[in-house]
Amino acid sequence: MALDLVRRLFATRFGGIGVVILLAVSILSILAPFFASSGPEDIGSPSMLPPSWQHPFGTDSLGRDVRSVLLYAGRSSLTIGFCAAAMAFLIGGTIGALAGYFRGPLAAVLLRVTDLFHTLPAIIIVLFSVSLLGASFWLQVAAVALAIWPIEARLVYGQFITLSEREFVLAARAAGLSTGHLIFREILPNALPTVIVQVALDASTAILIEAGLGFLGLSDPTVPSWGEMLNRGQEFLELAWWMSVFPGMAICIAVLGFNLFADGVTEMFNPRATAAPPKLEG
Amino acid sequence: MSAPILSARAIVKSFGGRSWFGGGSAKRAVDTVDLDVNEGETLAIVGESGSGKSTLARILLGLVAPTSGTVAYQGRPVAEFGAADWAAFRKSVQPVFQDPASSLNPRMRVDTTLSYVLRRHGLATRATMDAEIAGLLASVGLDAAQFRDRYPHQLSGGQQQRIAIARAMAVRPRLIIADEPLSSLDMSVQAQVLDLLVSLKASRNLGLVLISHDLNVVDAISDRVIVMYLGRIVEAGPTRQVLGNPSNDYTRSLLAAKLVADPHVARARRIAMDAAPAAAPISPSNLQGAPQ
Amino acid sequence: MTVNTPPADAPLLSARDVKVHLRVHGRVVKAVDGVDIEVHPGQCVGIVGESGSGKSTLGRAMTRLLPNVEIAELSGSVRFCGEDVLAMTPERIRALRRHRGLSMVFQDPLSYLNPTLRIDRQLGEALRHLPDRAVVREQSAELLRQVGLDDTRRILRLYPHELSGGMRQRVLIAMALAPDPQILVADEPTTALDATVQYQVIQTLRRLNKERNLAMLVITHDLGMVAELCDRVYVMNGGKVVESADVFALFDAPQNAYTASLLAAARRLHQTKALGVGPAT
Repeated sequence: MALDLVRRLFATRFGGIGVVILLAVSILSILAPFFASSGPEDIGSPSMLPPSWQHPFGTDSLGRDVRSVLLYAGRSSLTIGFCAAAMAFLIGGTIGALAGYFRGPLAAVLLRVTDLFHTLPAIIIVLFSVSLLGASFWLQVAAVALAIWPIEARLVYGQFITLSEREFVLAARAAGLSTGHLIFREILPNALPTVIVQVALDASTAILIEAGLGFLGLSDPTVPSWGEMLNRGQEFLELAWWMSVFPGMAICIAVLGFNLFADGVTEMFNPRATAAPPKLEG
Repeated sequence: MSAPILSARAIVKSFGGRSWFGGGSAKRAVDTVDLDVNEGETLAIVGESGSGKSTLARILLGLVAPTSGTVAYQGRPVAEFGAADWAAFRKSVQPVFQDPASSLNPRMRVDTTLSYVLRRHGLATRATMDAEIAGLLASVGLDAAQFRDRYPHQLSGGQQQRIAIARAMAVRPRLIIADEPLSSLDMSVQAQVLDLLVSLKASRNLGLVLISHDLNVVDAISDRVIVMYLGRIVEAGPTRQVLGNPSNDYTRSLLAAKLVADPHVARARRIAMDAAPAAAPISPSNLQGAPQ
Repeated sequence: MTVNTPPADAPLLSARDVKVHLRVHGRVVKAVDGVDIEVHPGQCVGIVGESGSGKSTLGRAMTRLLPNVEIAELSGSVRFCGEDVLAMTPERIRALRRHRGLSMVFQDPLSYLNPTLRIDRQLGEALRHLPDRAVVREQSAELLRQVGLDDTRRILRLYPHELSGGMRQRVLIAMALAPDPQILVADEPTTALDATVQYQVIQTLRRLNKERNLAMLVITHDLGMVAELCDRVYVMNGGKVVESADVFALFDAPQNAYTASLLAAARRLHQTKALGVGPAT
């Protein structure tokens, strides 16, 4: 079944490309020590060197090889992307599922809480948490998750509302199957395709938020990240464009990978959603 | 006659009717319904869209709570049920729904679906599961080897409905409540599924509540009929009597509108109607502006 | 395959050896595989089949309304008044749909009516070819009356969702009548409707067929509808026509095993004991 899913993903227009991009970016980052020519802390080279054979992406203001820093920074950016999305899914998914399945006063309360977090702009939440609690890496992840979970919650809520009325769920209830079974074996597997798409998009949002934080200088200074590289590069934009362009491209590629993957999953489970509009004939 | 398996008294189900800003009146999908279902009998509930028959079915199945009124199983009100009572109820009263495709979990194989039900009620162990499933599938006319590992989308409509029936039969119920079980199926398949229901009924003394808009089917297999219109029962009684000699205008209009697969009959009826034009048949779908 | 010889005069709409092969998930599905159909002026022809028989695909191919799926092959000739429908330019097709040509009625009226427009606007669109607003209004009311909706003033001011299912379907038929077509192609026109309304819509169609001499091609799985409405019936199975006959001949003495099995199934369902009506089994 899993192999069949993978095959179908690659049969979509862009899903396969998205997966390949994500795999490539992940592998490069995880195996950074093998691909990088120097450690992220090495400041031995002359600073502000333009791209050359020795330093394909140039060096930055501290004398670090940009390519190497990029690879190491990828670890934190991707980690934030995956982890924040996962956390958002856990928090938002649980809240949405409870509200959608049990309805009633419980749902009313949970939905209002969701609305509250939803109306606060993501950046504000993150800035608030970071300025209050400092900029440690995992706090950042939590802050980003806090910003995006309402979207997940709404989505899962909608799925549970619809699915819990479907006849196969009613039949399972009539067969006396437990609430746990209904939620985890009947409803959730059918909600997954939509949820996975949202999680992928959340990941790309998380990466962008992190980039924003880093750019504003609010990220953990001890951990290199693409956003932080952008921050460093902005004052040297005219002198050393490579300090900004390459991290920027890395962010774009990662976000693109997640988005294409999301498109691919959408197309897999709902082929007409992404099909070309019907050719109107006469 | 022994006590009815299932009985309903003064069932009312209303929707809507928020009193927040004084707007919106509540709509009664089911409006004061009484009925009994006896052991081994086939009761048909006939009605068109908006009659409340599906809502009533879900209330009888214990899936939806009525706004007021009581449903009693074997004389005991379900509202008083504890966990053990519900477990017994679930083993006795099972549904078959209209759209077989949506009544099966699209992500679950046939054998998985059946095994959950069997395990829940202790009807099979790991060792006996395969045999039990094979037996169930055989009882609905499907070859286990071929069908056990299929997903719903790999089955035809008729096969899906047979699986749904197998799932209902898995717990060896005393009563099946079938909501338009034939409507989504092709005509040739309808006959097969109907035959299956009839033979299961006969072999296990199964009670059947059949909700259907098809009067021909109702006449073919039911003992008693209830006719519903806009949430109320307008006529009830033995099938021969209700369909052969209806006392209610709505029932008469339903009978007049029945299509028969015979052009001779159709022509004869046309000639008769031209000679004595009847008033337009009453129907909820005809009354735009009637309380919906 | 048994085919009774068609009458001498030329058919209004005909299909000869029509093939529609579609590509679905990489495989070729022969939805329609060599079908001949004829509808003469004023005739009501039924195409009966179960799901997957290809009847709907045939209907859509004949009216140039095939859905947006990949077509592996579309061959054969479809002629309307002698002209080749499949080879027509889009402009010619549009002209035909606007006046004295083919009109189509589908199964689910709610999807085919614009939910944001009142009925009078939608009928007005179908009557664009008329000179002025007053004539359009008159003609709209007349069309509604023809389909049995007498409360025209009220109905014209309503939105589709404010109408009942039966009324919507009749409005759809009225819109199909607006261009004064010579033939109406109806694909499962009453399947989604309640029994009593279904009966009324069928009688409406029959009246239009007999009184206006409006030819009809009715595509359905319901043998009861065919018995009520059609003069001639084609039975389709697996993309081919397996039998075609006059309606009485078909029901009394089916020549093909598949037809016989369909009729047997219908009769099994319609075994009536109390009512005394129904076919002798």
